[in-house]
Amino acid sequence: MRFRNNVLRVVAVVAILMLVGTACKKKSSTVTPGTTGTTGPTGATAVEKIDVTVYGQGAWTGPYNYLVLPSEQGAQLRFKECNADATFPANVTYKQADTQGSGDQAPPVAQTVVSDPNTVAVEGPAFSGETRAVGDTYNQAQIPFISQSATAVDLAQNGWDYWYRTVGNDDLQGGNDGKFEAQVIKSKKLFISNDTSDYGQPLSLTVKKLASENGVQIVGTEGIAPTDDYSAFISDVKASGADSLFYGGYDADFAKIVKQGKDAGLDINYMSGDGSLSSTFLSSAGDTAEGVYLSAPTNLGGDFIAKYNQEYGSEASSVPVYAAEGYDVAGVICEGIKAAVAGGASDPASIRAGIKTYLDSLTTDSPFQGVSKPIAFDPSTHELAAADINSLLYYYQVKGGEMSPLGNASEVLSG
Amino acid sequence: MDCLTSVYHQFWDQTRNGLTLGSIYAMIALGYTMVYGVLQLINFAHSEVFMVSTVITLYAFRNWFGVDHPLGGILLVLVLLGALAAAMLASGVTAMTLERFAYRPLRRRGAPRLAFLISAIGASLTIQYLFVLMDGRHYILWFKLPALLGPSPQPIPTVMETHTAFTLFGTAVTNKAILVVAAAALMMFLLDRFVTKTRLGRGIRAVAQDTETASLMGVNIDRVIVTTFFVGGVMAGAAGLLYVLFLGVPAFWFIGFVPGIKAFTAAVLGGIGNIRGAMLGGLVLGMVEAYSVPCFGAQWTDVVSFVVLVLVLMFRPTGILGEQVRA
Repeated sequence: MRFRNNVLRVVAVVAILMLVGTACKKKSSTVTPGTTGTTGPTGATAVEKIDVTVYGQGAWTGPYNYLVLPSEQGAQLRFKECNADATFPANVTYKQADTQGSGDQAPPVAQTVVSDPNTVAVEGPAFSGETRAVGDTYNQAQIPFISQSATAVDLAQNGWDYWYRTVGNDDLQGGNDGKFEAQVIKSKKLFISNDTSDYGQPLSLTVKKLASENGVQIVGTEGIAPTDDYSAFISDVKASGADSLFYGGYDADFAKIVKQGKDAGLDINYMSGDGSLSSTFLSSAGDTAEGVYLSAPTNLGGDFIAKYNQEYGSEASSVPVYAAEGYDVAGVICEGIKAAVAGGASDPASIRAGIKTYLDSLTTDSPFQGVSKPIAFDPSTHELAAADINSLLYYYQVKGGEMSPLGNASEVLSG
Repeated sequence: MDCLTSVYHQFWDQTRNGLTLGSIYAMIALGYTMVYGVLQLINFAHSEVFMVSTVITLYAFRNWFGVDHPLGGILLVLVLLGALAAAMLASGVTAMTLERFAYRPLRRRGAPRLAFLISAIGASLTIQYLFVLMDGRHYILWFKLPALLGPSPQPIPTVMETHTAFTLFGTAVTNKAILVVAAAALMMFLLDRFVTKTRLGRGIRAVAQDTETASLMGVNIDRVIVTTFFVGGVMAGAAGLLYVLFLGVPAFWFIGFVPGIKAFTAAVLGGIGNIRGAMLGGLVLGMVEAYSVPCFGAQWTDVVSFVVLVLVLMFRPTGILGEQVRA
């Protein structure tokens, strides 16, 4: 008995050591596109490359990751191109700062970013909630953080000098969506719902405001935190007599609402914002996704998408949301690095400052020519500055299992 | 008054919702209550027993049966039964493994209650994160973990199309709802018969009542406990399949958390340790949640559930039906 006990104890200790060993084993979580620092193609004068790191903060894994992966893929592609360019003065290592999109998981991740001496910029955070959680950290550390997809309006109101956004915000989205419900969906009775998050709730309330200003009767407003069972909520919507439902929230949850709603016989119009525009929504909702309306400040049909598909082949997402924006943020960072080095920067700290100077220099007259749009920032709010911002909000409807573009807000809406 | 009229208007709709989801909670609650009855232990890892069943359901539908479009007729019945058998078996085995490695060693040493509790929570987290790591890219030393689940949700193919079977009192009763309630009722009936009529069931009741005397009377305590875990696991296994079938949600490593808490609440509400109490508690909790929605709105359901629990415990601490594992 004693012998067996001792053997079991030894086995237990060995098992624990094995598990600890796994934890210490280096996980392949860093993404390093083209970082061998080789000299360029023959004939080009190679420069001494400075090693810098850019972090991509967002949901690399987790239930909402298909909202973020396409933009990260875009960024990886761009950094690969930058590194391959022999005249590019740096070696960019693009690393994952995975928060699963959660504001709770973001602070320790931000700490890692800030304590890395080679960090020169952050691409992202991809979601609004996690931006709120770490904005002060990055701003105080004077690291430029440029978002490709976080749309909440209040992010621009924190006075963060180092924050920039390359897409329109939720006033643009919600405002136009409200009109969309009135003019295109021709809803008479609209039910407003959201996931009670800092992204979904303000968005849905903006839709509510603009829809009612355009003559739509609001028959219900409800927030319901992400869950598995929406049957009681759906019964509520049914009882309200609504002919259209708008949900401010994310793909995984909206898919459940649509699926359970249609299963329960709630055959009304369903609409959601950019948080639901993803391949996760299509795969989770399946056939029930048909006919659902979605909006987003990203163009799924742009010219860049062909390049994206060619690069990623089978790994390309069927809904490459924000891929072009992700590519452009990386492009803007690369240009910033070039400008910084040209201005005499030689170490990550001075490159950070140089990148910020470059970003601040972009105006609508002399923007950065991105593949998604010309990129310039409003000098006080750092919001995207554009001549016709309504043309940068796009509408989609699910047809035949795919996101079918309906046009942008300028084209589709009036007034 | 607005609240009452809303509830009145939606009464039959929400009754249907409450009964369906409540049946699923009831089945999971049985696992908690039975284990508490024989061991005076809250098996916090039971939510992971439930989660395993959803993963097996995913594999049964998607990989083993290769379902890519909704089925009908006899084929649907066979697929469902096959998946159900696999899910129940997997959950039962998971529960037995839990007993063997997380609780029995502590029982042998006469460990204090707290140790069981910590072990339960530890086991729960271990299983959750084991499934997170099982995405085919992680190793335990040289051994590569199979790609079973991973950190992202995996959609489960739709095997059954929903359509309204009939309309009762103005509310549409779907085929899925009927399936869930009927399956749950059948399984709970069978469990009740098992516990009251069979020898092993009598043993479970005896151990729950007084472990020492039961062992003196010749009951094999170990076998009873293993059976209890297995049966509880089987019920959770069936609940897992019904849950993903009815709600159409993807398999996810964290899927067990909320149903686990709700089911535990239901078990306590009905009388922890009391099998019929767990069944009643599940149904009551499901209905209370459903009726609260037209009244307070969907965001308050959890608050309402727990307030009800607190109120019941304040005025009837042993739960609605009391604590004994009565037949």
